[in-house]
Amino acid sequence: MSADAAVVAEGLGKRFRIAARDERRTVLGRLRRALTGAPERRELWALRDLDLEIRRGEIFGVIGANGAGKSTLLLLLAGILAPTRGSLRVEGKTDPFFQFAAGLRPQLSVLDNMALCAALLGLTRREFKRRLPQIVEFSGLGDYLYARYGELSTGLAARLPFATAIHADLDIIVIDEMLSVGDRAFQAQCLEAFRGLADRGKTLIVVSHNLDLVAELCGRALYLKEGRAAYCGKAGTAVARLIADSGG
Amino acid sequence: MRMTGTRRREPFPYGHLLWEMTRDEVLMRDQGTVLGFVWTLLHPALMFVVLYGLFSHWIGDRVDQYMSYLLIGIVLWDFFQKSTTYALGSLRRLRGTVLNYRFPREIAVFASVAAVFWSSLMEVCVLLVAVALLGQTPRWSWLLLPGALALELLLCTGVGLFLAVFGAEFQDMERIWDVLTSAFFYLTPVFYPLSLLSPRKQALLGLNPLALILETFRACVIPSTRAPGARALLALLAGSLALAAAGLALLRAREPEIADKLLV
Repeated sequence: MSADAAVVAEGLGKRFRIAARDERRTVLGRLRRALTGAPERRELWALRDLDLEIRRGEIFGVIGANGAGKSTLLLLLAGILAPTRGSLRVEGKTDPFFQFAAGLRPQLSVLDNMALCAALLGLTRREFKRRLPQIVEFSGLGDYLYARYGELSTGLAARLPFATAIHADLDIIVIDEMLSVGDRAFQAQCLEAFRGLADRGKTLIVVSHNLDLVAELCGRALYLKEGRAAYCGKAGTAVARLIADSGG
Repeated sequence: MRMTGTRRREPFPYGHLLWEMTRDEVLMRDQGTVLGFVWTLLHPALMFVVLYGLFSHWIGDRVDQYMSYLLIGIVLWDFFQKSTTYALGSLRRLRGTVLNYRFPREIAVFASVAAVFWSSLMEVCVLLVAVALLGQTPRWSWLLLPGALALELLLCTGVGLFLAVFGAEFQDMERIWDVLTSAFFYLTPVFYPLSLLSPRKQALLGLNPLALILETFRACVIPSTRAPGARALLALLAGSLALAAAGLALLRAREPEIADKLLV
């Protein structure tokens, strides 16, 4: 492991137990299965034998087809899921896993959601108040502060957690398809912010189906295929391999 | 398997998050409006009308200040029932937050219980005005009421932590808890005094922690009501603390499985 490593995974694996048939997870169902001996769950390995090292200050891409294990990897990196096998070392604060506006409250105002998002990202009330003008300016949501968050379009809604995260003291920022919903101007603003964060030593891990973006933005990328690392290295090569495997 | 990462090291680093999540839960439950609060008062008010109408002649003759006695029982029961049910669904209700942000999962449970506690505090204020209008002069013993409420808050938090784990795991837990609380309602002296029962049943139901809390609260407000002994209250405090600690340990131990089950 190198001294400037932000993330080190060795033999990392994640297994889920999914329903063996069409059945809800209930106490009565569990009792019935215990009595009848019916198979309860079957195993699904979302990620297997993954060795990975991401350096501090790197913009690292993760690509792959649907179901390849990208989101599972990000959830592991964010500490939301625990590995089933292997080891994972994450150096630094990496609270969030951004799936647009998930986890926020559509019934409440944009401002309330900014405060909640900041608190979830570990900002104190004082820090939030101090950084609020920058968060509002970056997000471009100044005219919508008292609108209900659920009333915003998908693109505008995605700006809130992203703008807040940019201004929180995160060491590793984990981004899942964040840029696919923003307009061109916001995307350009985000790319600039990404590079600025990387220059300041922050690590960015970007999951995207936008292969051009990954090739342009990331120095290195991991290509995941059926839960395993098909390639880890130069982003351009990873993208080329994925395109080749997808039939050109 | 090894998993490491930095953690915040302040003494209680999640106080602000607890405040924000509680505030949001209050706003979403009551829409943060007076009308929303009035709606929450309707349930205990309706229960009072029904129970008083049915039992005032039968039980009211044997209990001093039965109206106040019944009101206290309903408000405190309501807090127990609502807070534990709300805590039970907390992790499933906040699934998006749990799967997108890394924070101690117990904060979701604490915020749920605290949000119900907030509206129950309003109900207690209305209750105290009502019992004063019914002829109870405020006394020094009213100063002990926050202690009784704190005991109930601790008990509900402990029960809520256990329920949150099972609620995340099983989709029918809310229905099961609904059935159990319906039975528990009749095993708690909400609308009847324990003295109406046989000594054996009195001894048995006297073990009900909520019965002790109701008796304590009533003894502070209604002078003719007998308070439980100090030993019983100390045992209740120790038991509630142990329950909350065990619930917290269970939630933390099950955290990885809970995330898996919320995800797939």
